[in-house]
Amino acid sequence: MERFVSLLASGIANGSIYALVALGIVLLQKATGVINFAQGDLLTLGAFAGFWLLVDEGLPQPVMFALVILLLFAAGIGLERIGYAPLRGRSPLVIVISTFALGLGIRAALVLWQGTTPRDLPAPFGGTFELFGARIPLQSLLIVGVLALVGVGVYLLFQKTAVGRQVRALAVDRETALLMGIKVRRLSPLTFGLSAALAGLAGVLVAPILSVSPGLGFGLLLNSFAAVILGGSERLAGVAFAAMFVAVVQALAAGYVSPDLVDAYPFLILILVLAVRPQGLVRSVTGVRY
Amino acid sequence: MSVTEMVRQRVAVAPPAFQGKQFPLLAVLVFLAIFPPLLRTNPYDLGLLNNALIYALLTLGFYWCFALAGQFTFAVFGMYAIGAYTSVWFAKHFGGFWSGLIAAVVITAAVGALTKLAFARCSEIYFAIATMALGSLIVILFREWTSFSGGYEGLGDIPLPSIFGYELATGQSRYYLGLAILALLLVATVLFFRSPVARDLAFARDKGPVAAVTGLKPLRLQLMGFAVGSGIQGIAGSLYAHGAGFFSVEAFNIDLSLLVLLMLLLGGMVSMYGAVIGAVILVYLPEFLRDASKYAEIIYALAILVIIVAFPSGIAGLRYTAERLVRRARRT
Amino acid sequence: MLDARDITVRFGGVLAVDSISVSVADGEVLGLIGPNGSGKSTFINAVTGLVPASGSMTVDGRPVPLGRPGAVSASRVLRTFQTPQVHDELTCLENVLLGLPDRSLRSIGAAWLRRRALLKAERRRWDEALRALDFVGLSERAQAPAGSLSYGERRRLELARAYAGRPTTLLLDEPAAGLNHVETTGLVTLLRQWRDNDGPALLVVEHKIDFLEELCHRMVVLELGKVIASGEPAAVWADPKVANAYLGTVVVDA
Repeated sequence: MERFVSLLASGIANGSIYALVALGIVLLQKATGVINFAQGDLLTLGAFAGFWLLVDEGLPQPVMFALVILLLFAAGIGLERIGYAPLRGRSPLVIVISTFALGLGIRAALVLWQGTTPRDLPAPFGGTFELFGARIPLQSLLIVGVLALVGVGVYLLFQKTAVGRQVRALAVDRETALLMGIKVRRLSPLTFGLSAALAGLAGVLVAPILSVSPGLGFGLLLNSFAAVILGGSERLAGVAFAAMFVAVVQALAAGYVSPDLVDAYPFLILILVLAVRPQGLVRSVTGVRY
Repeated sequence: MSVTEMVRQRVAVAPPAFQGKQFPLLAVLVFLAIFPPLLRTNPYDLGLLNNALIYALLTLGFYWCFALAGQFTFAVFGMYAIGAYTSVWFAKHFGGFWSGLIAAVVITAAVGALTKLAFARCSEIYFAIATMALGSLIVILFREWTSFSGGYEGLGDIPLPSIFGYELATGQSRYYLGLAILALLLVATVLFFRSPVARDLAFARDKGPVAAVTGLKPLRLQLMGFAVGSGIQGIAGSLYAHGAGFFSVEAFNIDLSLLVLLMLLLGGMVSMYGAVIGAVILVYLPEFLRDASKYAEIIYALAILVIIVAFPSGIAGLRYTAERLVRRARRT
Repeated sequence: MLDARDITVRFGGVLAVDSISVSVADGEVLGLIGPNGSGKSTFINAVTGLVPASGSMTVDGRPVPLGRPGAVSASRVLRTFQTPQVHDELTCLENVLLGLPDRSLRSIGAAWLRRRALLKAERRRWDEALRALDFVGLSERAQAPAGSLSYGERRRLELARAYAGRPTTLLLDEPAAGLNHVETTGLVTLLRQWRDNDGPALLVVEHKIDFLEELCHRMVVLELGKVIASGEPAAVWADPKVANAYLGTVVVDA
């Protein structure tokens, strides 16, 4: 029983991380139509930035969190300027290639800056608590809590603010939204920044659990894609639940089936979904196979 | 137009693809390629030459998948791995290098066809994501299936290629084998261009629904292109394995796909020679920029960006880039 | 000969085509008209399998499944598009070659292993394609890339491709759109020539009334996805429902 609970808990914590990354991906996709293949590397950047601020510079945890969010927001805007703005109007695939290349650039830059030895980021709240006999790190609780807060925040952003309404309009009918005067040029750096900040936040949250290495985020990228595709980019809640599902399945399968294949399970889910229902599980879209 | 004029014109009415001088050009280039290993005989340089050949093959396979069949794929590193491992297994358990090579082609082509078929309804980007996951899964499979692949410990004792009993033990002899295979595949590509399949595939790729109502079978055509491309990637894997003598699963990761993409973008997607040009440049460039080797990946990342933005047609397509610039200059 | 029954197309909640039945007999020219949004192009898309639809269809007496473009073209039903769909980078000749029904030796296997037979078949096809280009008056431009053609020439190229396909039924989606008066007259002449020479049954979606008057034996009028009138052109023009659909009702102060 404790085994099950502890696996479930770690699944939920991981799922929250995937959800944070996936939310950033979906947010960007709704606003600009772009799928950011550098999202994982932005997570890594956040983790390394957190390490630098906390350990090298000795800043307190809350300050570190705030600064990482700001730094990553700026990084997101930078990404938009370099990798998206010059390619406006090109096919989505070209932009994907561009973000993929920039992700590689970020990874390589991190290797140069910090080297490849894995590091451990100290958690804000160390220690564990007990649930049904299982020991669960407090960090997991923090992660889930942050996700809930972010979820509420993003929901409010979308429903109550002008920016949010504009993003929703763009997501539903881009052409009409543009005709109605929505300033995409101002909106896209903003959404890139926000999306990157989410990734950075996920980075500092997951860093105490996993060790921080340059390939950290990229390894998680496909897992978040699985959540995005499974959950469908219609409802944000759907994406979050899909992320939980992927991570819990992953944790349980690793625990009960085979731990060596732990990184393979989300990929299997992804491939299954794309082969069987490529539009995701949410809507029924019409299409003709010829 | 009068009947006599039409009859007279009959000779000239072949489409441009059938009239070009592709074979003489290829023959000249292959002939020129005979000399490098005679001029530089030390093992290091021969290793570079063989490397360039293998990457040229890999990129040619990617060219078939992406440029010809119109389907972007991240799974190049996965096909490469399948080619390498299956070739070695068949070579050891069946009948030497050639059985391995044939097995590698057949199996990777089949996997490629299955991939294209399984994800046929996906959008471009989702297909790319699927191939990313597939490639990763393939590598994980080989990583865990240690009885077959040796996992991290790797495979050794790999049979050398041999022709009529004569073992190709030197880098030089393996270079000529690789060159022959590359030349053969380039010939096959030219024959493809000089045939109705090429225009049918172009139409299916660029205007799928219209092609379907015109009576073509777009999925089948793209399947063919993708399978051929995957098979070529498998050949590259096989040549790599039998030339390396030893390799492990660490040799296969997604950075390989990125490198191949850069090679094709750099060389130019507009021509099959783009694959070769890009491969040669990117294998030899690090030799000239030894001190900057730390920055290699960053340079690659920036290079991809610059090419996409400014030179989308690559080196082979510089003519198009020049035309575009001239047109833009004329307008202002 | 094409007989489509109860064709229905739904896009989400919108009923674009509401149980329409239309048939075209051999040698007949049917005009399909109606205001914008009445479902004319959607109907053609449904019949040729490009959008999912329900209903049934027989061609030359044999049933053809909906939603399968391959099956539709295999029964010699071809179409043109509102904007001419040609491949800009291929030459005019190559574009027409795409439409030829002779599919022998068009595989990669043939390209690699049966070159001699392939080249022989190709020469035959080049001839036939040239004749199709000649029919529409584009044989001089056979080797020119389709991207270099004017709009009117692209329309003719698309028609040549359809001609080369030897259809028994041809669906034309606004074939005269974007053409000036001279080009339109030329098109009418071409279609008449084709019709009088063992041509296919024609179903023409069009807005230009003079174009339709010269060609059509019969007309069908759509509004909001339903058939509101059908019959001989003169009768259709006189039908007050048709005028209403296009212009709205005139309210006269009593």
